[in-house]
Amino acid sequence: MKKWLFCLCFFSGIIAYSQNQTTRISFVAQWDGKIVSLEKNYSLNTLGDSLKFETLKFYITDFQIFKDSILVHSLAKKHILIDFEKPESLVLTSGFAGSFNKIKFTLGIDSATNYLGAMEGDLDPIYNMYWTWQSGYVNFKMEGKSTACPARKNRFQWHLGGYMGAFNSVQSIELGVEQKAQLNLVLDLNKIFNEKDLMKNYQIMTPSLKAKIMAQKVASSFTFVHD
Amino acid sequence: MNLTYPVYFPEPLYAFEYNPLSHKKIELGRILFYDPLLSKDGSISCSSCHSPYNAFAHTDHDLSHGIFDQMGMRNAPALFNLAWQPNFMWDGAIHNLELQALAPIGHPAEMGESIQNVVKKLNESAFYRDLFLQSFGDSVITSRPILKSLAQFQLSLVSANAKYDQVKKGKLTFTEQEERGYQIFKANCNSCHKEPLFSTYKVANNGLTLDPDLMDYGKYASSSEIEDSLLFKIPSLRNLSYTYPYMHDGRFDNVNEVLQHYTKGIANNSFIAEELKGGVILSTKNKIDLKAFLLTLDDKTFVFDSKHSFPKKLLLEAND
Repeated sequence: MKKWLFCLCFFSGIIAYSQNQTTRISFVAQWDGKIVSLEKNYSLNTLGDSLKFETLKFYITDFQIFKDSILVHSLAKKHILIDFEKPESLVLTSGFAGSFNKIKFTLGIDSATNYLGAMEGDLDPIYNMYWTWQSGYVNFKMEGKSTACPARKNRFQWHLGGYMGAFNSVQSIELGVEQKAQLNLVLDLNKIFNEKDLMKNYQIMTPSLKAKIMAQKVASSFTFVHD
Repeated sequence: MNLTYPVYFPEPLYAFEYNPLSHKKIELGRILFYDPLLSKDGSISCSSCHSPYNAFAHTDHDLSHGIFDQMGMRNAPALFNLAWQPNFMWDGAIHNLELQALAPIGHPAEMGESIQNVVKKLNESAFYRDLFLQSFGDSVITSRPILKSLAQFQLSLVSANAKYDQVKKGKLTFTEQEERGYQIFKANCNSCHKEPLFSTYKVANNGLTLDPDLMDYGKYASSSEIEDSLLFKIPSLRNLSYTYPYMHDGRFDNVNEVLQHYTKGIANNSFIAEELKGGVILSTKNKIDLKAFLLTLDDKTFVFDSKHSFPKKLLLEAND
């Protein structure tokens, strides 16, 4: 009798252990190879200019895990607000423990959802990611200060939105990935903007070609990095 | 419950399946609509600019004003028959009625508040926690039920009981003059101010000159597409007697001035609406007959309906 009980406990222990090993994805932002924390100063150039990030948040939609071209898992939550001010929002628990080699997701909120009415959860307008003077979600928001930025209070503000026609800034992202239990999805901020942008293109507040171009850069700046 | 409207009205555009109407939610939306708690200093409610006695317009004001007597850039439009509108605001920038309230709530010259603070203030009120519990089944209030109930109250504002409607239903007949005016209307105005809603609710350029102080380019301001320059939403011609002054910046005090604009005042530019390109020709007699017809679009029962006037419940609560 005791032997049976022991085997049962042993096996259920193994099952429980492997279920705890579902893949986790952590979002990390990098500037000049350093992990970015908000409100911390970073060097911009050799002339002594610096910058700091005050806000970095964006929506991801339909986060999906693939094995070759087969969809093996979709995250239960369709729209997720990744907010660097809230560390808990930076880690996604996939609920999937199987084999995979590719990940797809959308940066931003899709057109159809933008036409729906008042939403809640991560889509609640209280998160300041929904424009009030016109309809539409802000897909990606980054704000901060830099001594190189001539704006009032040296602030740079990039609110990238737009879900219609030529100024649709929603981006599809597809990345190959080596299978691991813990994945680091790195956002390389150097690929999104440079010193010249801080000096001349520091404010984007409406859907436009500028917003779309920058959103494309954001999409290209995601990579998986292994420890 | 369903929205009641005449059989000759088209189908509403609003997606009721995402926000089915209920008496309790409409009533809650009505209380919120009249409550200045939604503004930063507790002085401005939705009804401050959208007055029920004036078909929910800001009558006698060319530009609306908000907290601390700040003047806005546009004339607050009348609110009725919203379920038939594909978009909202004078530039059509807002696509779902549920999200429109965010604009005046958050505008520094209108209500000067933030949705976060409105959520906070309502949650601090036992009166509202109870109302939300009864209507939405949850005493914890988030932005969604606030916005959905405000939308429901506004959707319930249906204006379809003017003399014109009685004639359409066969209950009354136009006078000879009104009938002549109706024919003039159909020949000159119906393409944009299409009956029975008396607007296609599209945006158009009706030849208004740009006001150099306001520099309001209409839809261009929100779309940044050059072809949208000076395009403004075509308003309904219902309830004109209650909703003067007219146009997005309230520049015309009365219908005479509006008709004068169409017959003599249209700015010569290539962007003007196709329908107006031949010019509008109306004799003095035509204008008198047309005005007689326009008066048949005034819906007195809508303006005096106690169902959507100031809710006594709010007054009683304030006195506690």
